[in-house]
Amino acid sequence: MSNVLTVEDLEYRCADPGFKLGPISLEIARGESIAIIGENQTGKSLLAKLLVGAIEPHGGRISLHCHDGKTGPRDQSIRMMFQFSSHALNPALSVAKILEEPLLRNTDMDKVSREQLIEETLLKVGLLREHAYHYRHMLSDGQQQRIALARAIILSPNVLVADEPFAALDPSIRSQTVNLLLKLQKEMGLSFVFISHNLGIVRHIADKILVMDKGQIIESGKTDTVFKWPQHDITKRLIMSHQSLVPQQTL
Amino acid sequence: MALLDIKNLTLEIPHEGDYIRALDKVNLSVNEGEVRALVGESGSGKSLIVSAVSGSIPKHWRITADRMTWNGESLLNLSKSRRLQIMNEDIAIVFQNPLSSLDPSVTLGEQIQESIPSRLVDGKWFWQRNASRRQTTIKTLHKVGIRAHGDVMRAYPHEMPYDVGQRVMLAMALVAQPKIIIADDPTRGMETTTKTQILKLLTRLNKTRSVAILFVSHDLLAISSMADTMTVLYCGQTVESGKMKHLRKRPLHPYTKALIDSAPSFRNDLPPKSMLPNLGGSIPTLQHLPIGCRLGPRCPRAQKACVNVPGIRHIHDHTYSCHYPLHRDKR
Repeated sequence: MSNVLTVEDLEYRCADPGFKLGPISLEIARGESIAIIGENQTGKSLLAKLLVGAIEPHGGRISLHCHDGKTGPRDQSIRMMFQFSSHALNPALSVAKILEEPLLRNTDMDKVSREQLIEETLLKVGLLREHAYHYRHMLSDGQQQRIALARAIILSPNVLVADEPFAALDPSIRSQTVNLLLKLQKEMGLSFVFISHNLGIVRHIADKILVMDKGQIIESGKTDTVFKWPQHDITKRLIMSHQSLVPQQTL
Repeated sequence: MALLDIKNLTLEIPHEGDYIRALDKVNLSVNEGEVRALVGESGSGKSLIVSAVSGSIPKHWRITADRMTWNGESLLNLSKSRRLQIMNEDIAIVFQNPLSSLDPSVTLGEQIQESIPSRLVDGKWFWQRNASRRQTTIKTLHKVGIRAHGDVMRAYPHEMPYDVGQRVMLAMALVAQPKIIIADDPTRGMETTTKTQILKLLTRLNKTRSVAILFVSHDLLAISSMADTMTVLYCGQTVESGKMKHLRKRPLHPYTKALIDSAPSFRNDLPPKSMLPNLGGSIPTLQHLPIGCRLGPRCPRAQKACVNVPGIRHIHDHTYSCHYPLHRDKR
């Protein structure tokens, strides 16, 4: 299997001396979905930000396609969806402008081909061409999430990192987003790294699970294995508390 | 007997010279010692019902109801003092956003102590009463799962993470030993272990002290683990209501089915990475509500008759309003 992303001994030290992330090593294969679960304040979001390069690590290497993390193709081959998609969209810019920004900064496409790509991407995430003229406040939650997704995939990355992409969504809209992500993953061969508290959805879409605690990965493995035979105490607790909510099949 | 009984509650909000029906003939009742879940997506008016019960609706909104009673006493035209008394002694409300509903200028400890009604404070002299208040506060904080009570009591609301704020709200509700707890999305944004803890706490209160709970949420997994009965709202209309297990086994309204389908954990037979069944479209905004059955434009079973609001139909204690319900095609 070809790895898209390799992380070796990634480390990050916070200002708070009690917390240190890493060293973390992991590998992500092409087309794979990886879920990061764990309790609050365990460094999940920090790990996501380190992966995409929003924060510089203090040690270790992140390599994409065997290139060193710091060189060129990184901005294009790994993209992120932020935790609160509605806060992460600029209210003063139209959707077209929001989507144009990554193209302006990372490619030398001309205006016509930029517009064309924006149109295509909007259609891909299930919106209409006309949405390019909309502003943030005119869109519903689900549509904002789709714009955030469109911004993340417009450069056709290999890896998509998402921080709680489903948390703020209503159930019926959430299923739509899950379906959309699954579809895009199939079409584009995306690797998808996401953080979620919703273990039901994690179980449904993830191939592999990473469990984090206190800045360390304490357990990782295939979704089914982790759900059926959790090893670490914290994993057991998480899985157990999820299972206790799931109704037993008495019907 | 129903503790809280609401029949045909309609709430109208003025908008550009006209009135919008944010709640359209909503029915809801909570019996003594019952856990009722109120389910709906954002904009369905769950929180509006909560504020209507608590009386915190702005004066210029129009609120009408055939019946809205607390223990047989109408909540629509209460005197201010009587309402305060009821809200203080019997009804406790856990609001959605702790940051906006807690006082930012007062420490959490003081706020909890303030919400202890004086009938529950022991002692004659002020120092005895203060000590008793403090004791109750610490005990309640432990109950909601906060061990470092000192830090929390000294902190101001903005210094605490979201889930701690939520627990403090819950603690404030508990200190008054109410007959009913109305919890407006108390587990939102919590991770699974904390959520289970809060749900267990609520269930335990319900079992041991037979406190009735109105659990407002859209987290079906959480709801199904604790609720006895469920009422489903869509865009301000009650869509279906009945026993939890009936609704889960055989939902009659297409919307209820869509909600239940949206949680993959309910189904064992679902292969991983398969598409989840869902309703297309998005939730209409209050300004652009469709006429008739408000699910109409999104509903896979919608037909011509759906431009009229369907009446309420009963099958034993299971009520639904739909012209073309599921499972009822052949009579």
